[in-house]
Amino acid sequence: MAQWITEESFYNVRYTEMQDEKHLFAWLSIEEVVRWFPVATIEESALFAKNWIGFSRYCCSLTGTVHGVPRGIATLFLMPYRKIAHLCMGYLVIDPMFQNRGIGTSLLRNLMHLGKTYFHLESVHFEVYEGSAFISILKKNRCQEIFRQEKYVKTKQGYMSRMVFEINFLNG
Amino acid sequence: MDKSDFSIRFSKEEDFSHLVSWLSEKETMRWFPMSNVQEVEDAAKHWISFCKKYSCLTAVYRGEPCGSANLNLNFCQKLQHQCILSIVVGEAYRNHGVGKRLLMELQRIAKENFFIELLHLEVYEHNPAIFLYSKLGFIEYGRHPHFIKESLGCYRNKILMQKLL
Repeated sequence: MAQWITEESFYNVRYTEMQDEKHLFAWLSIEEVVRWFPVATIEESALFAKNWIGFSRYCCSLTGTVHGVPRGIATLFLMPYRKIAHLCMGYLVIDPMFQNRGIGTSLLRNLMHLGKTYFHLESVHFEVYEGSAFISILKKNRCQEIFRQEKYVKTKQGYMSRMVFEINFLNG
Repeated sequence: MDKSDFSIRFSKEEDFSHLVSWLSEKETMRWFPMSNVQEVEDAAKHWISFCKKYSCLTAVYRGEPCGSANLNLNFCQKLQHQCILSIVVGEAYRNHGVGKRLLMELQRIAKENFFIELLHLEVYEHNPAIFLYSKLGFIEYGRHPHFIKESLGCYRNKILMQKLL
């Protein structure tokens, strides 16, 4: 087996379908996943997953599958206003059983390509919380931190900062 | 502006049309992401929806609404200690302290009614309101470059400001 599952023939990237919502909701209900997202309760996760999957109708969302089963989703949350339609926020989640196998990098790169070539975006930004493993993937893929806000998240364990990373396609 | 004729109350659904008209003013629209009637109406619907939560205020002068400020309360528990605000004042009522009074009252309800610890806002560079925000203790914590793209292809940065309550 290859080090990266994404090199295997049974790995595929396709457009997200509405039926993928159950997988998204399942991942967003796992404690180790949900700590890196704004949601905390099952009700919040359900609403968040519903909003997230709704973007798939614009063909701006990609699903990574292993043997045909969804193992990660990356989505462009397209902006609703014309003046800011040249940029958008990206969201990405990986099934925790399939993390560190290259799916995050694969989905991120495919998402950037989709944003740049199909939606003609000039930049995509990602909001992450301090300590997230996704930060190193973003940095390796030419995303730069543009700002951070301390005490953005409050949990029983304390406060966490949010950091916003951006890739600007106009810079090459 | 005679202070005795000025008051601030919780917003009502009926304030929607005033909100649409203030946000549609050409000079005002420059400072918001919306650029047409449909976008303004969508934004105003979202804004006024917070009146059900009593987090939206309307300033009234001589019985006429003249401005509004809103706490965009978060539905996620982890984010409920902080909140982003929105504010608009009708063009005819600017430079009379309406914005300041709205922001001061908004900070009071944020702290006392919603236990907000961190209040923040987004403003586009060169907006004259930045001076008011600074005067009221909001501090810039970051910038999002090239956030707004105007019709002539000019960009404007978004400035992010916050205040610990």
